[in-house]
Amino acid sequence: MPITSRYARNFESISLEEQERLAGARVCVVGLGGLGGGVVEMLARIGVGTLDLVDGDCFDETNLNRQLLSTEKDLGVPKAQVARERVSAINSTVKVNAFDAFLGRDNAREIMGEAQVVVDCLDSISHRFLLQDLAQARNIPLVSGAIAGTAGQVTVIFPDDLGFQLIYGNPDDNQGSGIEAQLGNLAHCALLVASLQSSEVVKVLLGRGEILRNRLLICDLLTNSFEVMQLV
Amino acid sequence: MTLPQGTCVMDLVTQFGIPEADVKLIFINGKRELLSYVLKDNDRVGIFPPVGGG
Repeated sequence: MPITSRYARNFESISLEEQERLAGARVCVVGLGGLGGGVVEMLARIGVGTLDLVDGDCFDETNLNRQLLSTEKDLGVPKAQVARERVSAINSTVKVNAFDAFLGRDNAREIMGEAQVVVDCLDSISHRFLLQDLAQARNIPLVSGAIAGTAGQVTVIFPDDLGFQLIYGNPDDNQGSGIEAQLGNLAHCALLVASLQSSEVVKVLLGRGEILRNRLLICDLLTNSFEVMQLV
Repeated sequence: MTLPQGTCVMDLVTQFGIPEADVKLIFINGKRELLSYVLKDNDRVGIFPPVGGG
């Protein structure tokens, strides 16, 4: 399939030169649940050339309400495997490295060492701090999203930034869950935040637009409020 | 709402009965501030809990 027809509707929002740059880009998505499923879908469609997809979990029934990659037939199947199959079905020009594993200090180099951007689609605050450490140690920008009920937030953390410390405070005070433990997670909110994350990834890769660096976009769908807050 | 001179965000949190552990982010007029921030006339205050789901 020629690049010009596959991506015909991307042009002129994305130029041919930018489309080629995306094809040469490599992005690591950590967490393939509510946020990650949406991010993988969008990055594959827009044409990011290589995706490193990471999650050690398998799908279960509680995922079906919101996780785009989950289907009844894939309950019990590793999320990384389903993600690989989904990307291949959408866009066979995308190279996928699927890791059926949880990211940690021991495997970080192998999993995210080559990425230009890492996307935080995790569901625990303590793991987000670990991911920031791992990304910053490798000089990789991190695009982070989080949800709870009808609320969501997105930020972009560069290697020298304080990042999550500005949002969650001291890492040692964040061993439990956030407010999502009480509010749950909804499909429309997860996919909205996944869209915002995908947009930030594309902007970081292409070096254009306003990036949410040292800023936090906070939204609440119950009140239709969207605000960008200054973190420093 | 009307508050006495010198009221800080912590006073507001106490007044609303919000557990301090639930307060992760404070924004005054769209900029991050601390619990000790002393409120001024017409300040717009946002108090947010930790959001970590995915």
